[in-house]
Amino acid sequence: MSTESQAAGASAPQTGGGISQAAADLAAEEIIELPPELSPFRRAFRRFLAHKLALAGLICLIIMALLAATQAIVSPFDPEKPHLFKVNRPPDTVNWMGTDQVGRDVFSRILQGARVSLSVGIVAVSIYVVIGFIIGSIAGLAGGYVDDALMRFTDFVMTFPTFILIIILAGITGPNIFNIMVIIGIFGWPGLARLFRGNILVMRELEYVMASSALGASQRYIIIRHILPNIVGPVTVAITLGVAGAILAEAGLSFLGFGVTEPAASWGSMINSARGIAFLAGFPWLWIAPGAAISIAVLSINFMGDGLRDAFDVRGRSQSGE
Amino acid sequence: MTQYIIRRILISIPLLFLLSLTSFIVFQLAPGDPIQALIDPEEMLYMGPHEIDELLAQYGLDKPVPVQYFLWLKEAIQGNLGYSIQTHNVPVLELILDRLPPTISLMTATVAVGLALGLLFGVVSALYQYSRMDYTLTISAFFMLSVPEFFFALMGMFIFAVTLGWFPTFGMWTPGGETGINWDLLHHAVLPVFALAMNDIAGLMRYARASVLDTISADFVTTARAKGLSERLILWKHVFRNALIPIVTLIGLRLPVLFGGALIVETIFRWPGVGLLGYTALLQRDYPVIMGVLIISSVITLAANLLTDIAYAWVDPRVRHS
Repeated sequence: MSTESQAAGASAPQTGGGISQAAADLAAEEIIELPPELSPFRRAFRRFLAHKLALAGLICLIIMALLAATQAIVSPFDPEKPHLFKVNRPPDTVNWMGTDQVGRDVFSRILQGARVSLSVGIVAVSIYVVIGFIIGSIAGLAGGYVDDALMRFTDFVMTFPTFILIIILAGITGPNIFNIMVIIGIFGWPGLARLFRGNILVMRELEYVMASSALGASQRYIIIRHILPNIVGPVTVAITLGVAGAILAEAGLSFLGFGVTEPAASWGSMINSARGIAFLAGFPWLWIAPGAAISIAVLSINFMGDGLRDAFDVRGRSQSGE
Repeated sequence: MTQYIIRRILISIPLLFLLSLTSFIVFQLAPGDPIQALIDPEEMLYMGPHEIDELLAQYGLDKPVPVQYFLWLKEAIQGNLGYSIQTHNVPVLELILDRLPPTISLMTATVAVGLALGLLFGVVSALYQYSRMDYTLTISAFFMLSVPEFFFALMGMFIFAVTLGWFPTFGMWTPGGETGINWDLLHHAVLPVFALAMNDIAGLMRYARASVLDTISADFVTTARAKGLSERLILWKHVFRNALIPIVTLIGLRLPVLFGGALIVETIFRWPGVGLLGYTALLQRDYPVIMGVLIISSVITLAANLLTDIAYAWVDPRVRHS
């Protein structure tokens, strides 16, 4: 609302004029120190860039995504084509990470796996952000019995041993990357639903939101204009950490053999096919490479999440919100 | 207090009901009908549609699905979870009760290790905030949260069992040796427990660090200092008590995740627990056993949540009066 910001801008010099000139100078200096034209998002962005680990995580992820996208160019080998003359070769200058049991290039398969992991992470989290947003905002806006019922249900999903249920559903519906995305997505929403609800409850009581509603703003307008921009910070953090969780869940499922299956590669399924004690000891590159890939990807995302948390100052906000 | 416990138990009842409904729905999603699973396919060839209908009627499967649910629920409440298809009609409950002690001991040991090391590292990290020790621990926590448990398990197996030979690779006891609670069991448990506990250590450490830092700067701690209490008394009586007790509730919330992790770790180390049972049942499509595993692990999670809530209310009077 433009009138609001004008009013805020106009009130500052007025109070400044009321006190002595020295104080006004001091105030002016302070204002110069903090550039006023910097929006909250720009400020968050700067703080994120100052967070070294988060930046390292971001760069690492970008490299991974680029490699995954250009897999056919970066690596001359087909990730799914067996070469029976060079089976279980240790890493050398041609096959950087060695070859697997049927002679496929491990490096190419790692890159293919990166595609699977990143896309499962992003799609699954997108699904549950939508569910979490719908349930959380209905609960937060409706209040009363609806709120109670929805929050009880959310608690219920949270106390469920979800991973067991995910494994069972994946086992029953059959291994398939789309099933995995949907199944992980269906059970991930409770945290976000609570986040949306909690923030809506707090923000409804804020004065500028009440003012906006007193001026006749519709609920939709209030949500889009006032509430959503204020939840962007915590939601971004939750989404980032959620992608890490979804990647771990996919890896776990594929590791158990209920996720992505041959001949396509996923990091978890690559480890699954190298599980026997003979492989473990004899051909360690077969499981160390994908294991390291999962760990680096998730670590990068977690570092980014931490950087975003600092950048948006989420902890302070959520504490006053709860 | 009694009132709080009663209220809390009453809240659990609809949750249990919802839980049973979810399990039943998942069961309905499974492909194939139970009669096909029950009867020898060769025998089925000689059966007319009439005989199959008769069998369906005998098992109550001709009734509408909601009626089937209540019939099933009635049996389930009485402890009849059906019979395993693969292992010649052994009651599911019997199978699971057999496998429960290994899983419970694995999870208890994990929680104990996670709590002990997590709280220790968290407190050290908070008391020496911004020291080199704090940075090392905080970064290690990121690693522990990002590396999936199966990769920890495989690395532990590769390094400490295969290469160094310090620990056995599989099972709970040396085959042919004595069973029961003995050194052999402890020896076998080290690798699985630590693989599973990494996540808990890191998670609890981060909470403990934040919580101790919060409490140390609280007004009542400053008051205690102003009264001239010794630093040791302040830490033990005022800081740790207030900072660490809320962490008890986190264990209840971590249990659902722990069940999933236990399943993965059990399959790697052939730990003969409920997770391994569920995993083999999934591979063999032994649906009654799968459902039994889901129900038992959910009931245990609910019960554990109930217990942690009550324990929390017992130590913190503010909870039971809110």
